[in-house]
Parts: sequence; C-alpha cells; structure tokens
Amino acid sequence: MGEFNVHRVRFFDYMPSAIRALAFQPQRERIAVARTDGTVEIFNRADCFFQEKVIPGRQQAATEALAWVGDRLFSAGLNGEIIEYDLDNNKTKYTIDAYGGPIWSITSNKQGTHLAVGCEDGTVKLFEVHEDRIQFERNLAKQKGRIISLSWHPSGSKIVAGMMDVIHIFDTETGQSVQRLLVDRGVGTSRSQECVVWSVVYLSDGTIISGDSAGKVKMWDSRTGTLIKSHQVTKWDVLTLSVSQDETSLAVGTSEGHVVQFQFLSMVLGQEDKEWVRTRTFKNHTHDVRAVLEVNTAIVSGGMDTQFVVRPLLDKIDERGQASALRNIQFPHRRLVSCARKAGLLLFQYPGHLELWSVLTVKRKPEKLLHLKIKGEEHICCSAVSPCGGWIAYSTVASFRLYRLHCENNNVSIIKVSKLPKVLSSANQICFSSDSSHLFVASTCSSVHVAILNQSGCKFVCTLKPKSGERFYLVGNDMQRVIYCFRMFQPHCTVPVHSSGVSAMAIHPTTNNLFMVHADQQLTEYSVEKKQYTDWSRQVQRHGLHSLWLERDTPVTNVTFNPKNPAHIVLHDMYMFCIIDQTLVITRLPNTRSQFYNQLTLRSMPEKERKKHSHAFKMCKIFKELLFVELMEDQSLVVVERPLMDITAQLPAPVRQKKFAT
Amino acid sequence: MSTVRQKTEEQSQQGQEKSSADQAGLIMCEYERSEQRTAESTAESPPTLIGPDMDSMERPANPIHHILKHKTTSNMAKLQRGDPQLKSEKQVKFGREISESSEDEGPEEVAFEESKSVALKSAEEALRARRREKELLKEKRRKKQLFFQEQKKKSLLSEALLEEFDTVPQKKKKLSVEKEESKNEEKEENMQEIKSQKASRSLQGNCSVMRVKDKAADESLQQSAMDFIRSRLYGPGKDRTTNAELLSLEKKRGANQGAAVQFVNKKLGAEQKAKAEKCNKRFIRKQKLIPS
Repeated sequence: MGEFNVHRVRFFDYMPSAIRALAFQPQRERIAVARTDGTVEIFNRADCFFQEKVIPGRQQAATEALAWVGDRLFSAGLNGEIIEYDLDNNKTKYTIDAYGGPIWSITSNKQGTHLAVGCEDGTVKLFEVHEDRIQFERNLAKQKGRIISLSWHPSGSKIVAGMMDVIHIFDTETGQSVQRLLVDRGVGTSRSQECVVWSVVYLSDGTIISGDSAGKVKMWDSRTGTLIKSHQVTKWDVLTLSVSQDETSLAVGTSEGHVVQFQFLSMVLGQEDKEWVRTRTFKNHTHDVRAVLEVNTAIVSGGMDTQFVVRPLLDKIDERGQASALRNIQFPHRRLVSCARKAGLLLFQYPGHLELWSVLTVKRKPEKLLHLKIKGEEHICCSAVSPCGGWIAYSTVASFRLYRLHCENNNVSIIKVSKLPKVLSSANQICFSSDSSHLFVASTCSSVHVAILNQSGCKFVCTLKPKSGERFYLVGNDMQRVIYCFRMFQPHCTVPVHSSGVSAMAIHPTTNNLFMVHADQQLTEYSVEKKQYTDWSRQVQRHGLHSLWLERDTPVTNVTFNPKNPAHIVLHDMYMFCIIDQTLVITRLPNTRSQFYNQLTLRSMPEKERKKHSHAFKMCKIFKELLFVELMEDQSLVVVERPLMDITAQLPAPVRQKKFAT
Repeated sequence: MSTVRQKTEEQSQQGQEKSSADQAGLIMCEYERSEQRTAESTAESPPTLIGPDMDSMERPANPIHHILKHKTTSNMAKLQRGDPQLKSEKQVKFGREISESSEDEGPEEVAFEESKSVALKSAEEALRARRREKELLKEKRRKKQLFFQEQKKKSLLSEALLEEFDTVPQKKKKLSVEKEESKNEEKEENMQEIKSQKASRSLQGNCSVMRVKDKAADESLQQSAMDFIRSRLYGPGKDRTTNAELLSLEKKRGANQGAAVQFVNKKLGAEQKAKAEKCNKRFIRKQKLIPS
C-alpha cells in the first residue's frame, strides 16, 4: 500500500446556514428543506435521505415557510414574495408578490386547489392554484396584528391562524373569523411581552393544537372555543409543531433543542377515551429547533445548528437496516472542492466567492492565490478547475463564467473569457476533460454542452442529450438515474438503473471502467467498452459487502484513482477515507469490527502474517469531518477537513441549560 | 414664650379679620399664615386652610398641619361664610392649647395699623414673588423653544443647498426650452454653468442623494420582521449563553474530558485573553507591583 505524505487542509471555512422550514411530499417521499440563505434542498426519504437536488439561494433571502402542492413546491419569505420552484431545472420558476408585507407562513389545503399565506398586515390571502401559475383569489377578514402561523382543516372549510396573544378560526367560505381563542401569557417576566403563537395544527376532529412562546403546547376544541389541555413542555419557546398523517402522533420542536413527541393514546389500556400524552423526548440538537416533521416512521428535525437529523421511531420499524439508523446530515452530499492534480491547486466554492489555494508550494506552506468574488446576488451553483490548472469555471442560476489562469512563480493573473457561446447560460454541473482540452457543461433540459478550450477562448462544439469526462468518454446521469455514456460525442450506451441514486462516480483513466458508489453504499463497476458490468463488480454483488460498510450513514462524495497503481480506488465519506485494492480478494471479508478496521494491527504484524489477514478495503479513520480527499501526482494525499467545533463556534447563541454538576 | 404670645396676638387679629368675611382678607390671612409657617415651624400653629393658591406655596412638613387640615376642610366652607360657631370653637381650641404651655401673662398689644401694613407688605411680596417665578418659568420655556428650533435647523439641510436644489431643476427646464430653439452656444454655456455649479457645491460630508422609490419600502419591512424574530428569540430577557460555554460543558462531561475550549482553541479564547491581559496590566500598574 505504501505511505503517503498528507497535506492536511483546515482553511476551508465552510459555513452552512440554518434550517428554517421542512415540508414533506408523501407521494414521492421527498422532503424539502429551506435554509435561511434561501437554499432549497430536496432529500429522498426512500433512498437513505440522499440529497438529490440543491437549488441555490441568494443574498437578502429570508425564506420562512415551504408548502407542497402535489408535485410543485412553493416557498414564502419575509420579502413578501411567493416563489414557485422548477424542480427539473433546479431554479425558481417565478415569484409573485403577495402585497401584504412580509409573509410568515404558507400552507396548502388537502385537495390541492388553494394556497393560504399569512402576512404581516394581518390578512390571510387565498391563492388559487392553476396549471402553470397561482392567482390571487381573495383576502379573509383582516385582523389587527401579524399572522404568524396557519393551518388548514383537512376538509378545507376552515383555517386556523395563530397570531400574537390570540388564535383566530376563519371560515373559508365567508372569510369571517368565527372563533377567537385567547392564549394567556407566561408567568413572571414574560407576562409583559405578548405571547407569540409560533405554530398551529388543525386536526380533522376539530382539535387545534398550538405551540407558543410561553413554552406551552395547548389543545383546544374549535367547536366550543375552549381549552382542553395545556402542557408546559419547556421554559423557552415552542417553535414548531408537526402532526403525522394518521393524526396519532405529534412532534414538537423547542428552543432548547429538544424534540418532544406527543401521542394520542388512552391512559388506561383497553379503554376508548384517548387523549394527547407526552411520550418521548429527543435531544439531538444543540441549538433552537425551527422545523420539525413527523413522517410516519421517523421524526425529522432541523434548526439553527444547521444539522438535518432523522430520528426513526423504532416502534414503527420491524427490522434493523438503513431505515432504523439515526442520521445526522451535516455536510452536503456533493463536492464543494475541486482539485487541479497536476498543478497542485485547490478551488473552494463558497456561496458568494471562490478561493484558489496552492498546496504544493516550495515553502511547504499553502498559500492563497486567488479570491474571486461574484457579481450579483445569486449564490454559486457549481464550480470547477481544470486538471492542468489553467481554467476556472463557475456558474450561478443566471450566468456562467470562464476564466483563464496563469500562475508563474509568484504571479497569478486571471483573464475573463468574454465571448462565451450563448448556449452556456447556466449550469448544473461543470467538468473539464482530463487533458483540459474540452469543457463539458450540464445545463437545463438535460442537455450537456461541449466546448473546446484553446488559447483564444472557448468555442462551442455540440450539445449532447441524455458528467465526468474522460478523453473519449463522457458520462452523465439524469434524475431518473439513467446513466448515459457518450463516446467521441456520440451516444454509446446506457448503464442499467440501480434502485439507489449514485452519490459519486468516476471513469478509470486506463481501463475505462465506470466506478459508481450509490447512496445505499453499494459499489458497482461498469465497463463502458464492453457495455456490461465487470467481473469484479459481479463478484462484489454476489458476495455482498461487509455490514460495517453498509451501515455507514454518510454517503461517499468523491471517487478518484491512483495514477501509479491502476488497481487502487480512493474514496471517502465524512468520517473515513478508504482505498479499495481490486487485486485483493473480496470474499475473505472478516466479521468483527476490529478485523474490518485492521490497518493498525496489520502494521504491527510481520510481512508473512499480513497477507493472510489483509482484505480489499483499507480504511483510515484518522481524519474526521472530511470534505475532500484526493491523491496528487506526486503520491501525496490532500485531505480537506472542516472540524464541526469550528462550525459550532460561529453559530448563534444557544439557550443556557443548567446541567447537574456544572 | 414671646414668640408664642406674638403668635396668639396675631391669631386673634386674624380672627378679627376673618370676621369681616372679606375674600381678600381671607387670602391675606392665608398668606400670613404661610409666612409664619415658613418662619417658625413650631408644634402649635394654626390649621392649614386649603385655598386656591396654596399649591404654589411651600408647605413645610409638619404633622399637626395635616391633621388639622383634614379637620378644617369641612370647616373651610363654614369659615368663608363666617360661621361664628366655628370661630368660637377654634378660639376655644387655641385657647386651650396656649394655656397649657404659656405662663400667666397677658398678650402683647400690637397696633392695628402696624399689623395691617405688615400684612399688606407680605401680600405684596408674595405677589411679586409669584410674578418673578412666572417670569422665570416663561424664560425657561422660551429658552427651550429656541433650543429646539436650533436643533431642528441643524438636522435639516442648509439653506444654500436647498436653494441649489431649487435652482438646478429650473435651469434644466430653461435648458430644454433653449434646446428647442436650438441655440448650441447657449446650451453649452448653460451646461457649463450647471456643471460648474455642481462641481463647486458638493454635498458636505459623506452624503448621497437617493430617491425614496429606489429603496423599496419592503426592505425596511423585511428588516423590521427580522428584528422582531431576533428580539423574540435572542432579545433581552432570554436566557442565552455562548457557544464556547456549550462546547466547554460538553468537554467537561463528555467522553473525552478536557479543558474548556477557550484555552484549547486560540481563536475562541482570543477576546477573553486580551481582556484578561488588559485587566492584569491595569492591576499591576495600580498596585505598583513593578517598581518603575
């Protein structure tokens, strides 16, 4: 295997933004996540919560709420606009101003015909959902005070709105407020402040559940307008509520970082009278939980600590597997770092700028070569640097830029390539060929544009329909998980569809085998020339992978190859990096944990013993919280880490929890 | 003793004056009594009469005043009407109090004219004092008004600038008219004039002119909404701590126990360390621990 010089890089100040809203679409099992910087991410619940799409945000964005209407996704924010997203092309379709001031919440009715938004000026506005747009229908009766939360009754006839100190129930036909429920303020100092009803839920039997800033979860009867039961859940605010589809379980998110579950049970076994009882408390967050979702077998929560936590409810799950694991998604499931191997350059992608660092310097200390700020308010969608280090390309939703880079000795000069082909307007993925002669841009309508790069600039060659680039082969995958292979810019073949999405793939430089790692941790290798799976891949599938490999909860985000040794594959996920040796036998995989992670023990053994005990997966867990691992030309390893403690140190303030003996 | 006797004389005099049931006389009595109170605050003093102008006068803290005050509010009306019964009651009370403390001496005789002039003078002085106070208040109000006006003037733009804003659009209108006449030389001259004006009179300081509709109203609304959330979650009264403390507590109770993060991580503890160093330096200098 050998020893490597490791360049340990910790100066990538990646800072994720807080999660503000979650929305679940039951038909396609997708969870939409809205962050405070306007980014919307789509996670696939059925595919181990793999992050399928990322729609980048913009500056001055303040998304407050999300709503699904069928397959369409809408969001509303404090800038007073409702945005519909084009999920096929990863961008916003259109924005419509609600003319009510900042919008605090948006919700759709069960029938999928109307959207209701709650505005700062005290009106609930109803919008009709048409085929290609939404249209304002009418206002419900205007109230004094801002409307913080909304919930529609499953029948669609009533809407409950949570405001300051009061809850109103509106009849959607007449638009008038039929009931008014007064929420009492907290005790002590909070009596002087108004009580904000942060979240309301309307159940089909007429019960309204509300969470307010006094830390109480209250159950109301909407028919009589009275309080049924009040639970003091926390000393701080109750920020969010979510009820399951069958209305038997309620998840409550608090400012403390605790997620509390209530269940609709009868106190005495066998009796019929049921009530809402507090059952479990989950303490998976350190900061405020601002969004919580009760999907039937798990509770999904997100908040100011930027982590997306999936806590499965083990009483609903029968067997141990991927569905029963506690997941904590901290880093995105895509690469933010690209590397120019020959030149020893690293390109870091931030939301508003790019940084280029040189790692293989004479002084042995990495230095920053370039800080490229983008103009405009949009965030960067994707970026890439060519392997030779001569070209940098990045794309936002609205624009595409290509730069020519010259670095000699200590001078760095960058020239913008101004005359770009008009087809290259925006990109989802950018890729350079390995000899840096061609540029491949994957853009809208699932087309890939190919352009030739030369001294004078960039010239458009052709458009391919139905990502990584090799000299003669180009591979791209679309949302239906079909992978197309192109040879010399002609369609060549398609790879059979796997049930799980591909999280990372790469083509081997010499053997032209496409190596893929899927979101469910399966490995497959496809020979593009022979148009079939390789023998090694078939062997792996037959034997099955080790349980410790399959139980990892973070997906592999990068696959590279060792230039000196064609049988080595280097891949990494958040907590480990691994070199797979294809020459070693797969079948001899041990069962116990200590024998799987056996690198240190092998080192202590004599040479003859090692061959008996070594297996194909060489895992290294020294480096934690990895964002990127790459093997350079001179056999040195570059490891980009982002310690979670540094991220936590820059978050907003958490609540002061008094713990025993501290 | 003499003072007490003098007082009783005056009281009897006042009783006489009361008998005339003159409003002015009543007021004079009140003033006199108030003067007495300010001069000598003794236990035995006449009851306070609550009249219309008493609020402006000083009222020394004297318990018996207050007690008697309550008793005499009802008697006030009777006094004004000149109730003989009440007067006799009062005199009897006074007589009893005085006889308890004074010796067997007859009251001093004071001439009516003297006491009248004294009373008149005191009344005039009181009036003058009131006028003076009113004038002082007026002065204060005038000064405040001036001050506010000056403040307002300061916050507005200077008149010169305002004139410039007025004249420039007019000039531009003139310019457009002249363009129609197509006199190029004049146009050029005007342009040059405007340019020179603009160049010579630039805004003072770092000011820039912006239209209201450019900066939309919803940005301020968005900002106020975000401030509302921030004040509700992180505002005063919310029990929040720092991330450094959170991490340090985890380290204290967690699996790999270690020191607090401020000491381990240079960046986190930098501010506190700087503060501590400053404090130390100040202490050393103050205590003169290092001989200089």
